Amino acid sequence: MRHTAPADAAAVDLDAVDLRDPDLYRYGDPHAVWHAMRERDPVHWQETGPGTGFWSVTRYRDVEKVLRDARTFTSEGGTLLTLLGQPDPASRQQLSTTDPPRHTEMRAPLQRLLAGRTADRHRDRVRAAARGILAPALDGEPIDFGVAVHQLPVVMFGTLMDLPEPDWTRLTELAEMAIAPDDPVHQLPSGAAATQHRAHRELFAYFQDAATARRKALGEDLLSVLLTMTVEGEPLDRGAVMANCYLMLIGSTVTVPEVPKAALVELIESGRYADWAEHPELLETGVEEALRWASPANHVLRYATAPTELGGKRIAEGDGVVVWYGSANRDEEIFPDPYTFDVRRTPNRHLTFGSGPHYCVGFAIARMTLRVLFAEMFAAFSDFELAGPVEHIASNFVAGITRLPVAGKPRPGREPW
Amino acid sequence: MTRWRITVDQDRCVGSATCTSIAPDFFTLDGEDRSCPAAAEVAPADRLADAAELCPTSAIAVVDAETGLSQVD
Repeated sequence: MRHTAPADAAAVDLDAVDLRDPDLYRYGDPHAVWHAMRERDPVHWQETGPGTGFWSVTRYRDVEKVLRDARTFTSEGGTLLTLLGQPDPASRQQLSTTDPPRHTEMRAPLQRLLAGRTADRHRDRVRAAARGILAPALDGEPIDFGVAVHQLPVVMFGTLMDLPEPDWTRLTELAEMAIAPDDPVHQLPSGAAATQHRAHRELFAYFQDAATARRKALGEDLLSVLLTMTVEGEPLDRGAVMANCYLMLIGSTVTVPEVPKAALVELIESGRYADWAEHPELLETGVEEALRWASPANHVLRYATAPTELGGKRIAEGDGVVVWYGSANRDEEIFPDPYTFDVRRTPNRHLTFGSGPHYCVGFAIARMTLRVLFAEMFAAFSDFELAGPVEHIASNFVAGITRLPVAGKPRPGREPW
Repeated sequence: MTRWRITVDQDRCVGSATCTSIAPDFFTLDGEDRSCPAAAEVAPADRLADAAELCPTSAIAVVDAETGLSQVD
């Protein structure tokens, strides 16, 4: 999907729009749809069958309200639109599909481990990985940044989980297959459902083996934390440990790479790369703007636990309510000139990490990873240009780019790596 | 005896409840799930500094009540 200003939001027919369709995100313009919804029908009912459907929430304040109020909008019925109307097998097992107070007990030990000081400790490792990704572009030849940058976040995931480095690439591939099985880049010849099934099977078997081995040699790592935490007086069962390993993998490897990809496309197309690159003091505000701009997770689903009202609409008990992050992050009421990538934007209270109890537990690691990557990129390259067509991912969950061929202009006289 | 002063910037708080889970004696959530200090001044405690450090939006300030110096790394 394009991240720029929609071409023609006025022409969007909201009754004909299907926000579930993966191809809308590959070929279409979801920002035009969200723009039209914010203007005309900010809490919009989409029918998916006779008497069934879901609400789309598109304005910042309504999105924030839903995310913060876990009592009225539960996560325990599932959080992904593809599973709408079906029970989520990970309910009350996985952090993301558990409500407070159980959620709070699960989250605290994870949040302690994923703190800023952990991020600081591994900064050099991430820097080395960032250089490894960018190095092939130093001779001026094109690289596919869309593919290469996926090797970055798995460095922190693999390190914090204490998993063998040779496995990291495969874990990244499986995460992509699991989350975007409709995309031709990731899909197996046997089709989308088989692709996702295969990825899930292989990942769960992998984490199962890793957990069995780790039980005998517990350490300070994330997997050991999952294996030893006590929630409501009991350890997590085997399925819950697996489900949370999976969540941590997806939450880090699928989303983080989309931030520099979306930002780089915009910086190249707007000719503003140099403006940011020449101002190291804008690293932090620029990264926040890249987070707002990219909004890598498109949506999250909640279910209403009681009749309620939102944006003037009556929501019935049991209704599915989908919040669209990319829309909230372009809300004109909150962000002046929302379709401009402004590295100086402050305040910038984007909802990319969410809000409320499910605020992204990996935020400190993600921020550190992104700051390191952009700093290394700006230090080594004075500019980039596109070296081929940009391709977008077919997925209603991740706002992503699959192919992003670019050629960099290395800085003369730069410090050697 | 040293006392620490706690403040929460309500504008920045996103209600992640990190502080109330790490230092439940020191923070409560209001009706809109925004964090508030349970008491403005307290005896020093490690978990209080932890809660401030782990706040996703750095909305919590913990300072020495006398000197005003921050007690968060």
